[in-house]
Amino acid sequence: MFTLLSEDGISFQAERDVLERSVLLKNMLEDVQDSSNSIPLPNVASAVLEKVLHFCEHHRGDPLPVPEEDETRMRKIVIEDWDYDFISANCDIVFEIIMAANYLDIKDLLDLGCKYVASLIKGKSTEQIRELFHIVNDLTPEEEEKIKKENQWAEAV
Amino acid sequence: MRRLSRTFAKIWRRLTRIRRTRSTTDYTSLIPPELLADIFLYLSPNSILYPPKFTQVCSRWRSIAHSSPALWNVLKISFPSALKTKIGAASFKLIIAEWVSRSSSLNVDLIVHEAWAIKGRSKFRRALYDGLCKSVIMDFSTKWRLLNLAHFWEGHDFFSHDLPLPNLEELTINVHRYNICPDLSLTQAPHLRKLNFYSEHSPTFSCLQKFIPTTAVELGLRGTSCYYGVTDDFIRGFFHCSQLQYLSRLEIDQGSSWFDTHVLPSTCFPTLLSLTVRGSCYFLGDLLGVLTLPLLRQLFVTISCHRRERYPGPIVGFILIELQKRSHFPLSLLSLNSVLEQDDWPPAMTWSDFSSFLSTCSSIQELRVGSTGKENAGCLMDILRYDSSETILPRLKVFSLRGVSDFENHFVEFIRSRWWPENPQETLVGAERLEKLTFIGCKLRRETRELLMECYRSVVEQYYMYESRQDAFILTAEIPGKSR
Repeated sequence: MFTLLSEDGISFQAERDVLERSVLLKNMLEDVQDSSNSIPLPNVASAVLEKVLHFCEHHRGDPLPVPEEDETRMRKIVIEDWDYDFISANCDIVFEIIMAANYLDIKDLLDLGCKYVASLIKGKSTEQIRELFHIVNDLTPEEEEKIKKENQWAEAV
Repeated sequence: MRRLSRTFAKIWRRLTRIRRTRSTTDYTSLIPPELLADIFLYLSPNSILYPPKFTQVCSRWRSIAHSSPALWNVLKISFPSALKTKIGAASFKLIIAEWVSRSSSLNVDLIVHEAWAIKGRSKFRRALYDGLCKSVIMDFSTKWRLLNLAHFWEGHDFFSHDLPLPNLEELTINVHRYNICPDLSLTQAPHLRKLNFYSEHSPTFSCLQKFIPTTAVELGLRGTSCYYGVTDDFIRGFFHCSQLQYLSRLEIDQGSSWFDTHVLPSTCFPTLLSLTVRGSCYFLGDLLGVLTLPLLRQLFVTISCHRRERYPGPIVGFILIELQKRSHFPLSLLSLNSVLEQDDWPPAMTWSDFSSFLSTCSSIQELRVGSTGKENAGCLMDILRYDSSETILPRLKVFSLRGVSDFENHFVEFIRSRWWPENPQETLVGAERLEKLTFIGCKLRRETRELLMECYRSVVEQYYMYESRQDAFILTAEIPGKSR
């Protein structure tokens, strides 16, 4: 068992194969001989770390995701049932989970967070997107003008 | 006026800052640009007629989206109903040019649709659109990785300009109007690997011969019509084409109007790995009957049209057995569509020939059988069920079935014969475990569903429209990470 120390000083214990879902932690564990020393994670709050470990625990033993053949091509939003339930239950901290997954280098969790946010955006109008994420419309008049020109050719969806 | 505009911009910025401080947290402001761009990649725009909403939300999102080239490397151009004037065309072209420039150093896939919307209405508007598309194709010719101009035949004369296409890897063009040989050349496309000819009628092969570059390793001849297709003259010329000796993939789905036996020359494709053929029984018989394919890995066979008055008998099975005898290919994927179908007249392949062919192809790992619901599930499953005394398809890992319903227990017996748990007390000797099963538009019994749930970690069912039947579904059962 290894101990992780969150940003707010809470410690969590997990087994090696759970932690090795994270490339960052996997590399760190290669250098750690003594499991009694805790590993500090200054960028991850306890509330988020708990969820991240829950995800890794569920997926322990699964094959690690392979990189896309072509990272520059459009991706599809396909989310498995358990993953969907997990991420939608934690939608209030989804951006924190995305950033923690990015920091800890957990590709499947990062992809899941990105897919979930993309699924929230999909099919919504600009005003609905702004409302959903509390975004202020700060488009300049020049940008507004440009958008008007783009939309001039748009067909009704 | 300028001063007024600057003052207005200042006020706007100040107003925005005030709004920001008053508003609740903008959650997305936590996310670094590269992650936001990753999210946008799941919402990639591709049609010029539907500008993505996420570029119109706020300045930050717009700026991040516009500086992410991967979002702009697919472009579909369709006729916009607002296109009415030359000035309009120039303005539309500017929008297209901006899209292409956002792709930065990435190459772009361009799909151009014909102006169906204005068919027969206005020659002027059609000419505007054709001219616009042609100038886009030519002006940015060095950017294209893929060009799909299947329905845009009016613009093909740009090939006679010897256009530089240094990054072009895949080209799909319409050829059916080219029965009079145009002066086409693709001499400046050194990386062209995939070439698809889209046609409703058979083109004259001499027209196309010089158009096929030696770099092409994948070639397709496609169309949608069930009543027209390639002629025997075309296939004879095609088989003599020296460029085809380097092909790794060939697809001919235009054999529907082939309703007599024709003599074709014996031909070997020494490097062909994948063959897709679709046509009448006569067509499949004549074509597959003269080929030798020593390296073939994937074979897709589809019977396109049944006509009782033009039925040559169940020849496809025999032809496939002979093809394997000549070629000794290490087939890993076999797909048979409508080949085993049994109506009130004899099928294209008998069950006995099907069984004999499979027994000569022990390397098959994936089998797809498609029908229109008239197949005999019992006969099919009797052949496919694993039995150690008759080791048929010992390496089968992936199986998909379309339009076949089981009213007895055949599917259950088939699955039980080819599946066992992770750490079994006893395992089958010399057989692979079935890792993935897909049922498309098949009626399944409750026992089959229960067994699938019991055996496979992932069972997903999606409803879809299948040949106008509302109750159709795709059920996929698999062990995650195990199947190919």
